[in-house]
Amino acid sequence: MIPVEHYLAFSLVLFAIGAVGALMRRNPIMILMSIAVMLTAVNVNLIAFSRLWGTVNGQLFSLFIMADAAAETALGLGILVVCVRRRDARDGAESGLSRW
Amino acid sequence: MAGNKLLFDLFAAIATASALAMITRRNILHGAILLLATLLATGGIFLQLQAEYAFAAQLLLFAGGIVLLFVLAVMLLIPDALRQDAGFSWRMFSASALVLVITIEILAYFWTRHDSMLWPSVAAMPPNNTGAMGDALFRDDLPAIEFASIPLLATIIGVVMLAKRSTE
Repeated sequence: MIPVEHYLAFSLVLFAIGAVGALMRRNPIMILMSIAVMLTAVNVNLIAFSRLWGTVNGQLFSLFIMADAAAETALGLGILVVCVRRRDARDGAESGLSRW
Repeated sequence: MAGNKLLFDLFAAIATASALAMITRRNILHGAILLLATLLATGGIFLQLQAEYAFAAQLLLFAGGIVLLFVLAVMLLIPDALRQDAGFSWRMFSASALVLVITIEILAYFWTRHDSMLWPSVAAMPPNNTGAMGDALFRDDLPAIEFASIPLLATIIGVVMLAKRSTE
């Protein structure tokens, strides 16, 4: 079988790409899409370990992460649409949408 | 077994390349399509890990639902000004460099380790995976799915409130 490290490395690379995208892009839609990539990377980790131990618990958690990703995307796009209607939200970092 | 490895390499390469292209393209709609490619390739890896239910959920929920939501929101609601990205923010460049350094460090750790933790031979996946998941969801871990419904309910109420206030 494929060692679990391969899945962990793949998940790490995908998570890093998502993190870099979320940090470096300024468009709020791109930030949301990068967060979706990061959540998928977490799912790869969970399912790889679920397969490693031969139980379904990791898949269970991945299902919850998918549900939360859907909720987060719907809410984020809803907030974005309200912001776009109120003012020009071209730059997420400038308009306070992604300010920390 | 060799085919398995080849399949994994193929899916991982597609997912990584599409994700890299996604964060570098300026056009948001191109980014959404590349995100779809990333999610589909990751779904292939789920299927390879014998997670059939997660594969179906990935296709229907992530690739079907979330990407459709992105595309619809971009095409119907967001003005043209937002479709082209404003580009990279160089203020965040140092933070991203830090992420890359940490990633390369952990990858180097994987690379130099020799005592690989292989799959334990005793742990075989139950053949009827989806059925086992239904048992886990609705019998063993029933409170978990009930708790998962709370953020979903909060999201529904929040989005309704946002939509209501923006039309007033």
